[in-house]
Amino acid sequence: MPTPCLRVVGLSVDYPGSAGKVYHAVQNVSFTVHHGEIFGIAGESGCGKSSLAHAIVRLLKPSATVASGHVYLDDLDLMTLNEAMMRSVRWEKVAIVPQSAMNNLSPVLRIGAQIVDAIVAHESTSRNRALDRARELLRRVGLAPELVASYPHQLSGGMRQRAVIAMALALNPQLLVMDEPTTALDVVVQAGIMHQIKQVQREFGFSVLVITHDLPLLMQVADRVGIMYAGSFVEIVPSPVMLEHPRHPYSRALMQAFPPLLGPSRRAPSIEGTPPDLSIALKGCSFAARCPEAVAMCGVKAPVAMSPGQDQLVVCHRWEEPSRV
Amino acid sequence: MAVSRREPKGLNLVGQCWQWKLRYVPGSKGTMGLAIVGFFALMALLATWIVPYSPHQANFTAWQPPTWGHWLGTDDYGQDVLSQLIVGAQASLVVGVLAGLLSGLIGVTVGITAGYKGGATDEILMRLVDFLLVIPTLALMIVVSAFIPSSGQTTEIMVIGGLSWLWMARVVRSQVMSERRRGYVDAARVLGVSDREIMFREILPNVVPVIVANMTLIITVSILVQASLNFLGIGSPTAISWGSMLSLAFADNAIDQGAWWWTIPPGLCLTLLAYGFSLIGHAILQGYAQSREQ
Amino acid sequence: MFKLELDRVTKRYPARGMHRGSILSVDQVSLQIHQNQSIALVGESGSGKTTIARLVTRLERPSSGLIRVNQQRLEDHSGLPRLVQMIFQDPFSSLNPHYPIGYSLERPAELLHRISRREAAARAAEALTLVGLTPAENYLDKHAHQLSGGQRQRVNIARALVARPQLIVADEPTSMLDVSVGLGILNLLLDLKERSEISYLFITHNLAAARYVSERIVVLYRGIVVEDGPSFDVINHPLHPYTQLLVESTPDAHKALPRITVPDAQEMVGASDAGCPFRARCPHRRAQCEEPVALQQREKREVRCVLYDH
Repeated sequence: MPTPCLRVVGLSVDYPGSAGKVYHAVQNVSFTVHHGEIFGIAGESGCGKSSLAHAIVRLLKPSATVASGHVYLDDLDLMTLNEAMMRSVRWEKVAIVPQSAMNNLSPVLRIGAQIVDAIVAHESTSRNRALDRARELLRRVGLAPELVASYPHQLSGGMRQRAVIAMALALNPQLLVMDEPTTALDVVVQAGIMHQIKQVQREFGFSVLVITHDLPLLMQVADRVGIMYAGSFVEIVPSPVMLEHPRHPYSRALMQAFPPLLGPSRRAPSIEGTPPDLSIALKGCSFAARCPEAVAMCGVKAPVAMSPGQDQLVVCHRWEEPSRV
Repeated sequence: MAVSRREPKGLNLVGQCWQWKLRYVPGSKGTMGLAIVGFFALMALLATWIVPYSPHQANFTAWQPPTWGHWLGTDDYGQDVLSQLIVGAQASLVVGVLAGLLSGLIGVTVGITAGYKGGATDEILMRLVDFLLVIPTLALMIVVSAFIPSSGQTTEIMVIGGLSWLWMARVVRSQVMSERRRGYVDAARVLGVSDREIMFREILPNVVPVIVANMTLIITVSILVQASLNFLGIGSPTAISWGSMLSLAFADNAIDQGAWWWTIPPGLCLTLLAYGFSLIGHAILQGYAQSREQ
Repeated sequence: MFKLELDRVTKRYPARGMHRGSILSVDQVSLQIHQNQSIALVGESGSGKTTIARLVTRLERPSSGLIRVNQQRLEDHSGLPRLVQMIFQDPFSSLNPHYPIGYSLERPAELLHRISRREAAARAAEALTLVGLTPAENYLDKHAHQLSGGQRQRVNIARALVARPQLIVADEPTSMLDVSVGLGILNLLLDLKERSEISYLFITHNLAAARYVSERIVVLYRGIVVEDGPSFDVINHPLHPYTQLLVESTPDAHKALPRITVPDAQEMVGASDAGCPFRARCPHRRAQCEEPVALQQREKREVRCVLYDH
């Protein structure tokens, strides 16, 4: 079996809370992303998806700590690198497009100059050559190459987001991490950008880790999706499997929470209750208290991660039973 | 549920005051600020009874350093400095606080009206503020005080209060403008709440921090301006205040004479009183932040 | 019977900064809402949907055109707050942080229905129960910051209900909430509509949510109504090219990712004049698109496009 592009093993992230509490935002998470794969993570706010992404590229807030775990990029364990080495790995091997990155472009520099700065910081090349590369990068994400000469305020939100993605691709990383890349954009613009990302990805073959709360969009974009709840994955399956046969009750509930655009219009049940307090260790399954299919065992014994197929994961006591809902 | 919102009953007056203090002026800063201002307030209130001599009695030996008979010595007219200091607290406190309150009242009203109504109302009020701001305040006060014949304390309050509200109005206005864009103001408008109620019951409580911060500043400045006016010999010539004491001491070369007991006490009292008000302001802001977090 | 009508309503805002003149936010919009009807206004940001919400609730005045509620001009209607209420997009800022929930609910009841405090308190508790915040006593003393986003949005709905309105304008009520929480809010709105004769003007950028809540969808583009019809028809057989693009772009797990290559709307600035505002992005563009297009009637639907001009 080939080495995966990204292999995360037992990763945990803690945040300090008030009164000495510790919030376990990411709890012992393991998964892999293959070369040339688009892997999507979905979940609601507070499920740890953003912390997970930032922990992978080691850009957590200073207060947060990686309590345990390894992140392998090919065979390189990112957790063992020092800061200087990590800085060169970022951009060159793994690039991140953080949430609302399009609003974080420098307002006083031209788009081209900002891309050039990123390139010459990592490669010994002339600014002119780098500028040519910047033009090519813009073209790649569907923007006119002449836009290298424009300032961020002259571009629309969608165009700025494309520019940010172009910048992330500047050094041909093997993995592109995107946190809610299209959340603030209109749906037409969003669809355009997603289509473009997928095209570029197919052309150059890098891997993508994309995070969003928009599960229908994610299933359109990603080859495989992971559903996170309360700091860990409850299910990881290829998108078509998720569509036809979600095994975890939370996956089913989350799918239903998005009213379908087409087909019969039905009332969908909402998920009652709230996610558990991540500072308290739970005895049973983290979703048991809200689960419509929970049985007595779910509240006492934590389910073990099962693998229903290759590169798949489901964490539920009743995963083999057909759904009752 | 109505009962639970009331304060617990059965507390005596002192207990209630302490509850009130813990709630609105919490912390050691609050305690200290209240103690300082309270000390001077008591001094001013009881002045008539606690002065060792009449402050106008001028038949003691002049330029006396502190003695058991005169704790803070005497000035060059042979008047008792301590007695003057005690009586002077009245003028500083009354003028400072009342002028501060007056300018707070005007500033907050103008600021909220301009910030909430916007448009022409805002334009007119703010042009007025701009116009008044470019006039050097102290100079105008000197002129105004000089033209008003019987310059008593009331005049001082009106002049200081009537000219110190400009910054308050500006700061409150900008805060109200940002507050006005918040959803609860729109919600109140959709619910048919009157403009006046929106301004003073919905928005006002949410701009308390800037009002308090400015109020502290304005009271401090009012105390100092009052002292300055008296120091410059403007204001009622016969009234005794810390400012007029300093003015006399300066005019009569107290510094050259080494008469520190005449210059330092009124200066120190002014600083201390102003500091007391700042501490109270800090504590109120702290209490406000606490009540919002809970 | 309740009825709200917009008759060729236009709203211009004075332009700021370097631009001169005015920005047309809503352009000659006409629509009607009847009792117990739910209408969704769908469009991207800048389409004027929120402006319509603010015009209907009298937060803004129209530049021209007429809004009538129960045959009476909206401007002169003294009892409007008892007929039309609004739920805001941001559940965090739409409750006054200074007051407990109880005050935010009781005060409007007191003002609008001229009832005693005791009665107002009863109304507040009743409204909280209706929106599923039970027992109501647990919430009356709480401040907004002690509640979750979903709970705050429920309080906002309760506050609107205290007025006992005929129409609730809901301006993107779930866009700042988690999906599962948002679904709860949508379900609550549907429950309330089933229980009473209430109408909704539901403002959203999400076609799927629009269909979930409303029988009728009005699609706006740059302040103009481009299409109006029953929700099912508009989504399954969109007529206007913009609606088609919108339906295609809306994420749906059952569809493949669309191949969208049309330029962004903002790249087209300067294209707003008398002609069709969508023509710069439209695959069917032709010479007639430079001229103003009238709204065409097609059975139960309306569409503004030369493709359907007969």
